Amino acid sequence: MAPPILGDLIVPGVNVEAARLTWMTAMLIMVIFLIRALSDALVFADIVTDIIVRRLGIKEERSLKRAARDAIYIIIAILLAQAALPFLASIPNIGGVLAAAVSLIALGFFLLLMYDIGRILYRVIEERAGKVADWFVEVHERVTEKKRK
Amino acid sequence: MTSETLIFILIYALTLLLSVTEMIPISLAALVGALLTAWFGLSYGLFTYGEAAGFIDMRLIALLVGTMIVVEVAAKSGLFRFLALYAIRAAGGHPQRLFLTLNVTAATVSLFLSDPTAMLLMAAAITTIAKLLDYDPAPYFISAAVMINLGGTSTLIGSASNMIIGVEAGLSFSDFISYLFLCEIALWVLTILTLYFLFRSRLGEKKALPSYDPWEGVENKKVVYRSALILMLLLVLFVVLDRLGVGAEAVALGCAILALAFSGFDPSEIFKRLDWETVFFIAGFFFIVRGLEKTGILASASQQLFQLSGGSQLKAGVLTIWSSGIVSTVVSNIAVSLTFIPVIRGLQGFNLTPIWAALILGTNLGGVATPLSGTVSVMAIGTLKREGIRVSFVEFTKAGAATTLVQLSFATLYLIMRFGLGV
Repeated sequence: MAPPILGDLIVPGVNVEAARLTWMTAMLIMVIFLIRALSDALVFADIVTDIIVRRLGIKEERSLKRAARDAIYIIIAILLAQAALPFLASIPNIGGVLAAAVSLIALGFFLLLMYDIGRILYRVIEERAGKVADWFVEVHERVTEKKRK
Repeated sequence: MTSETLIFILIYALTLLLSVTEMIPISLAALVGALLTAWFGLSYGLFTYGEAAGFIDMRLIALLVGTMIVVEVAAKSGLFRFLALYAIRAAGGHPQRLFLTLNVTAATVSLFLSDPTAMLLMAAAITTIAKLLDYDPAPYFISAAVMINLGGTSTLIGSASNMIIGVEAGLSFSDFISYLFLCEIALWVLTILTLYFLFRSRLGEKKALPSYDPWEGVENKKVVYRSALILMLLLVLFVVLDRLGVGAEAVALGCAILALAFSGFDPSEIFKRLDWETVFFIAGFFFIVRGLEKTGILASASQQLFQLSGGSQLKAGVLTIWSSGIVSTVVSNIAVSLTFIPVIRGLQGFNLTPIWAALILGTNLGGVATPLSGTVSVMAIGTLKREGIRVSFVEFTKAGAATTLVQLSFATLYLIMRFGLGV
């Protein structure tokens, strides 16, 4: 929605309606803020994930062993929820709510730990890619050096 | 795939992950997995309580415990220590001869001893010798770990995975020897040559070996002789088992009773030294695999293997040896053998003997490809670390992966020729 004062005004030089340009700018601003909000949310997710992972006794910093431990907790969460659901659902009156709550908690765990696994794999790949890049640079420098000689 | 099947796959994956990451002891990991299998299996009506009670093969557990008792009595008597020290003295201070003797001794003692016990014995011998002669112990340690893993590939009691496959596939001690003994001997030669090629520059120079008496650590020579006799009796009875009309577990338990009765050792002391971790891991994992089998997923894995091999015995054998070998570099060979057994048993229209042989070779040979592949490699590196010598992941993997590759390649050729696969 563009302000009515713009009417059918065409922006000279770019030959685009002012209303459309305003709408596009507003969308761009929204996207920028959305990205910023998401990155803030990721920082928050990082902190929450770190707290939960430490509470679970996973002490490794950024190793694949930590990813394996995350996977273990994901499986445990799924199995525990799956084992508890039939019993919870059979409790009269509150059974449905309890079952839904347990499913949501298990889902929350699943998402947080999957996020942690993603983070670890990203860092590992980033590190390895860095090492490969360094190796390429080194080889290139050696070849250039030889050619100069 | 149904959600029930997925749950059982998750239980299986959880047990493997818990074992690989060593978050909790492996026996506990398998028992927790077994408990979950029982819980979900009974609540889904996948099997009855009566069926579940028969999931664990007690013949296998009896064979394991019986053999462990006989070997533990022999180890406590000092028999294996005597053999190791005697062999080293025979080699003198010649590094090449010492390297050969240590490797052959390592493989020989692991024919009877469990791999961790054999590694402990060899570690003590190598550390002493390396200090006496001022040699770098790393090449000797790594080689011993590789040879201990290889030793016993061709015998029913050579490793826990062999006992599992033997009992489940109905292979006798003589079957093992007749199918695989030649292959094992050739693998010893090839592996020692590969290790020598890798470490020849690091073995040290010729020095005079100080004199010592191999009987020094032995408290009672009579017990050593009796233990050796009972061990030989066990082997002889295993060979003539078919004529006796009893199972291998009966022979193992009978010899265990004789060993306990004639050694004079306190049985409770021997029971304490048994590897209960392995026994409970096998029992728990057995239960998990049986649960998984009930979902039908392993039958469909058999079907997949059959389709992948296109009905060819050669392809099925090669697939089995390489897949079990590669998976064994990461996962315990006990877990691999227990998982593969129902898959192989489900193969229709095949002569299963070469496939069982492929599984035995694959599960045995993949155990030391990396420092994390098995207990032996972890122990070798741990002992070296305590001695102040660091062996990097890459250094160990170079030797481990190279020998595993050589062994698996040769074993594949052997299978093809021995069983006429592809003809």
